Amino acid sequence: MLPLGTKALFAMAFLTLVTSVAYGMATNDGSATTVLGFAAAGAFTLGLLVLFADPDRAPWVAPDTPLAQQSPAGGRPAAPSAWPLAGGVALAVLVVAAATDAVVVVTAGLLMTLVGLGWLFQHWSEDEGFTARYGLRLKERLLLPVGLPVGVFALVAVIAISLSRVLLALSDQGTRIVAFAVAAAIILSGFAIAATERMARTALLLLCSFALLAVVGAGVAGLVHGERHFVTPHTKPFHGHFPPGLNPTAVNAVTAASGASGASTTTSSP
Amino acid sequence: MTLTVSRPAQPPDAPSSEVAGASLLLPESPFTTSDHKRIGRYYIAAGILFVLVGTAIALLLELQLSSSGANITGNDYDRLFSLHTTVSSLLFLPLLFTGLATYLVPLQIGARRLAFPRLQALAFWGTFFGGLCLLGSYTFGKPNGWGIAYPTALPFAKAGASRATDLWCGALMLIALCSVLAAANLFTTVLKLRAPGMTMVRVPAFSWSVLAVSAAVLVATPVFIGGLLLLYLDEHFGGGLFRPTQDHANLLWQHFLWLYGRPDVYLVVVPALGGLTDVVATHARRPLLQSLAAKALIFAVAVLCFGVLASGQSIEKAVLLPTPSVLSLLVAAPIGLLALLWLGTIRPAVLRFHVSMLYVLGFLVLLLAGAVNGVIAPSQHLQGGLTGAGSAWTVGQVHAVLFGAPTLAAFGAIYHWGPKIYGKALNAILGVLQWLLLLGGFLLAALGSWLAGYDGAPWHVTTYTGPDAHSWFADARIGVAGGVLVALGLLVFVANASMTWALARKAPEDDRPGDPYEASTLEWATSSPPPEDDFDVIPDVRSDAPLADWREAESSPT
Amino acid sequence: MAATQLALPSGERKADPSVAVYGILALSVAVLVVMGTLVGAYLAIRAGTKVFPPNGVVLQDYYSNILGGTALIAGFGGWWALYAVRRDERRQAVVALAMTAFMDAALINLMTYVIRSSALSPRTDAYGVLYYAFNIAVIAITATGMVVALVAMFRVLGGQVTSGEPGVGWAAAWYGTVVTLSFLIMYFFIYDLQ
Repeated sequence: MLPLGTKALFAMAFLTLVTSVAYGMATNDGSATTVLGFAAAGAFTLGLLVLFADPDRAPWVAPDTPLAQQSPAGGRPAAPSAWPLAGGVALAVLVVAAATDAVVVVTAGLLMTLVGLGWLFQHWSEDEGFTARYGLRLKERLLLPVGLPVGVFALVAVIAISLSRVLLALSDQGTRIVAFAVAAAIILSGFAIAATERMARTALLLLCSFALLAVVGAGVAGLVHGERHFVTPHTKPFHGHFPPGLNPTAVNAVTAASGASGASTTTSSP
Repeated sequence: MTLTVSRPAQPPDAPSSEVAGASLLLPESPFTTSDHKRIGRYYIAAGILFVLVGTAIALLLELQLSSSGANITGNDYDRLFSLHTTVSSLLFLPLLFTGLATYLVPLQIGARRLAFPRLQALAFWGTFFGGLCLLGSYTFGKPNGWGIAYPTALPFAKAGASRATDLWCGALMLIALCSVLAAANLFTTVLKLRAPGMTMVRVPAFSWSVLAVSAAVLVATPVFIGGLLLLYLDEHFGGGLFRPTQDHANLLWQHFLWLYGRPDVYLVVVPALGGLTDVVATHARRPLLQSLAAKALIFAVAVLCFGVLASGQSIEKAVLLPTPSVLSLLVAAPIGLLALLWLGTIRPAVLRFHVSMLYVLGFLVLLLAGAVNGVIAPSQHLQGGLTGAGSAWTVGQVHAVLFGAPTLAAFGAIYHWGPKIYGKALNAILGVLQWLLLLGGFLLAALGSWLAGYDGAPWHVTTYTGPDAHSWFADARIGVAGGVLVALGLLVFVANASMTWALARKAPEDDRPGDPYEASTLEWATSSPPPEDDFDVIPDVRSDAPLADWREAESSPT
Repeated sequence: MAATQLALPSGERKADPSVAVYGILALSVAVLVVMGTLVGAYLAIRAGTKVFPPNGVVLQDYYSNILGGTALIAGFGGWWALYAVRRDERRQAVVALAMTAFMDAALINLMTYVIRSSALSPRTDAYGVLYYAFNIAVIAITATGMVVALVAMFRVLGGQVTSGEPGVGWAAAWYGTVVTLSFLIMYFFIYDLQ
């Protein structure tokens, strides 16, 4: 006996298939026919899922069995997690990337990878088998020896590269102003945090996260904007005196060799 | 009456929360929650926020139609119109019903949580940010094309559409993807987390309707995602897939849009029907007449939505003329039969007057108004002939039947489950006021469009011109009045919900009964609002009214 | 009805591990409908265009066959992992899932190379748009397949997927098959039917 849900979904599949065939015959148009055909297959698959999910039969109880209470289904509720919000932000960045630059696509990809890893780790650590002892072993053997140096290096690299992109994108004066402003911001924030008697861990984390996001965002913007035009000062040929003891012939030989390879130095013999 | 019992003490060797990396356990907050109840409320709040934007734009456009001259013309008009339709159809009722489903489905089936709690949180945040990106695409740039229905109305002479158009495509893809994720989650929840003894037949009507609509979304929405991918590549790179000169490509887009859009527009009626069925059964204080038939009818609406594909404007030229109206009528048939079952369930002597029943009445009134106009229309000289395509009349039908009726149903469900959601019943006087404003508003808004349509007015124009324009202006003013009332109704709800939420937090627990209605379904077997894990225990499920069985068993003599 | 007895609750009910399988399968339906949409578009444009693929488009069988083989191995890896999980052979399961993830990465890598080295572009014509759409869709699906395989691998490593609770193993096996199926759909219409 098919469950009610299976019957309903098979009916959906059947009607969609009929619509597909009738529409194809009436209009001779392949696209809607194909799509409706796939939709019918999808509805049929969902019907099979319902069929195999459970027998959809209530457990037999004797008529005079008293009503009792039971535990609800579903296991423990999930613990709070910031990864869904971060995932939403990453997806939004991907949407913005669709309208901007390939660099932003890469940023979105990296963000999504980060979110995926964080989510996986949190879900993994919440499993019943993940005891404190196992977690400590993991921390001592993997996270601290490998993860910590790699993570710190990656963080420093991201900050350095982002800042460098910003500085390369700005004008001369802008570069100086931004460099000074960033340094001042770091020093002043440090003072403020040190001066605060008690600062909530969450607040500090949020502050650092915002700062990091701002730096990375600015770096991406700088990368998309591109570097400013650098003017290389014209180098004049050397017309001075060589230091005593320096063999001008050897110098000429070296100069000739470098001239053959394309360098543009010229020397004049004393 | 609640069945909460004291929780047993934690066993001593329970897993510690101080594990590697998990020492960053965050406290419960709006940004870190995985609780389906909070996420459900956020969905509802986001839906209201977005529809206020959509309604404001609609008022602006309708105001322009109510007098001669046009300040907003050309592409600006098209874009604002597109924004109104997209926001109102994608970011209001779907969010409202997803929020209700997220909140109620685990409670109704006797589960502690959704199948994938964090996935639902991700789906919410993705939808929210997607909605912001969609609004941003209109604010920071100029997306091309007049609306989602005709993206080819733009010059393809050079590669690369505007960034705003790309953002628009991307935002829609994200919103569609998140709706698929939410649907998969809800589908799996109803499938796998039902309490033992709760067979499919015993699942409450609202959860059953959520199963139906989730299945339809899983099958229909990916079509839209595929179409949007093609549209994005075509717009961004200028390949010329959707060119104005290529009829078959235009038809292609119509298929992609309407294979999602037609079911989608009708699909919001499905959870509306499920919710109102539960409302009627609860306040009628007796079991629903022929509950199995009711469930079959609810699913039939979802099934028949796929047949309404041929009602799409360009598609209908390719099929026999009666087909669209016959297919639309087929969808109306199970709705009508379900309404008859509701009426058969209600007995005046035992009916409890509750503000949500007014919303049931309003839902039926708007459907009836649409049906009556559907009968009158063929005898009038509408633009576009029998189908009304291109006539202002169709706008009236959309506002009354496809938008107004499900909106009233959604708010009816919120008022019914308000004590559970907010911890305290929403203010009834404000509820009645909101009902009057919404019902009156939708009727007036639709009436303006109907009358304009009967007078021969076209749809989707920046301003009315011609010899009959003066009568059309008057009709549009009626529509403006209706729009203002609808906006006021929405604001009344915002005020009511905020006030109730604030009062409930201060109210003692005795003033927050878990089961104010002596209802039959499991969501009332816990406190209001429920604790984090929903239930401590639930009664054995041996029928589709487990709570009623429990009450009867408790009251019977030993 | 007889009087109630406040019976003791039946004990904390654990989460059903098969939930993950049904969730993945429900999402798989959506994935296959996306591919169906692209197939419908392809057939429609093909029917309405005189020369399809356009003149000068040459799709090498060598690359398509290598891609097909890679996709099949990736799909097979998921079932091998499930076989190992059901026998509590953790190392074998980890190797199988790692191989699946690696093959998915290889598939993405080769598809990216084939796209870049082909003369096709979404700027040139409708065929280019369709070609890119198919490839991007399959790459995105394969990327999610890689994520599923890696998640399953780490959970097997953590001892959370066993013969008693093989749910995640089943999920990885089925989704790997969906990834392979998505590629084969593209293979048939783009490289075979043409």
